[in-house]
Amino acid sequence: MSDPCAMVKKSEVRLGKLNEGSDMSWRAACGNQSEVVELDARAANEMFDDIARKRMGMSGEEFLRRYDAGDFNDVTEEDIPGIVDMEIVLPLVR
Amino acid sequence: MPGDTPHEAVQAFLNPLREATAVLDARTDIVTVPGGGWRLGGTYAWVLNGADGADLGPAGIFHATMKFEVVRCDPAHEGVYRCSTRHYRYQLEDRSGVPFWRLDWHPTGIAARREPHLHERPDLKEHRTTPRAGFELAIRGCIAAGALLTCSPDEAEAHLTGIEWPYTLYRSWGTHPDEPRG
Repeated sequence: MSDPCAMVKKSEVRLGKLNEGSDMSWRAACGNQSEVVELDARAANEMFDDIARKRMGMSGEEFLRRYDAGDFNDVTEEDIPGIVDMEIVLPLVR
Repeated sequence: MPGDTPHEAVQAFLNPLREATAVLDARTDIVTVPGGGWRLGGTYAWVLNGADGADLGPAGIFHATMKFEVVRCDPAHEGVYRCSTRHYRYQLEDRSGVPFWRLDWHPTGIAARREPHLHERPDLKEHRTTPRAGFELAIRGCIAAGALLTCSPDEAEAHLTGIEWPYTLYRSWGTHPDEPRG
C-alpha cells in the first residue's frame, strides 16, 4: 500500500472530494478518527454549560441570565477573556 | 466552499476543518449544533472537542471555536450557498489553562474589535493586529509548538496547504475586513 499521507497529499484534498468520505483509509492509517459531530439541544446545553464553567466560572444558565441582564456590558476582553468565547458559542443554545 | 443547499454548504465548510485536524495525533471532533436546521441567514458555532479542547501532548491544549453564518454565494462564484466566518478564536494553552497564544477575531459583541489580532506571552492583554488567520494557521502554530502528528511535518504542511487554498477563492477578505473587494 502506498504511503497514505502521500496519497492524501496528492489526491484526496481536491475540491469536491472532501465530503465523500474518501479520506477514510488515510484517516484509519494515521490514527486520527475525528468527526463532525452534530449535537441535539440537550447535549448542546451541556456543552455550553461546560464552556461557561471553564471560561466564566459560572453555569451556562447563570451566564445567560446575567448576559441578558447586561451584567457584562462593561466587561472588556482584557478583564475577562472568556467573554469572547461565550459570545462565539451563543449560537449553540440560541 | 459552496453548496446547493444550506446543509451542503455547512458540510463543505466543516468537513475541510475536520480534515485539517487529521494531521494532529489527538481527538479533534468539530462539534456543532444545527438547532432548528441549517438555513440561509442562520448563525451557528462549532467548537473543537467542546470545553476540553484537544490535548496535543507536549504542545499543550488546543482550543478552537468559530461563529459562522450561512449566506448566499457571490454571483461571481459557482454555488448557491456558502458559510461565512463571523468570529473565531484559536488558542493554545498550557496545562494550567494559561494561553501561550490566542488568535482572535470578534468584530461584534461586548468585546468587539474590528481587526483580527494576536495575544501572546508575555503580555496576553496586548492586541497585535494580524491578517485573517485561518484554522490551518492555528494548526501550524500547534505543530511549531511540538504537537504530536499523524504524519511527518512536511506531509502535514502539504496537507494543510491543500486544504486551505480553496478558501482563498471564496472568502470576502484576507488582510483587513474593510479592504477593497472585487
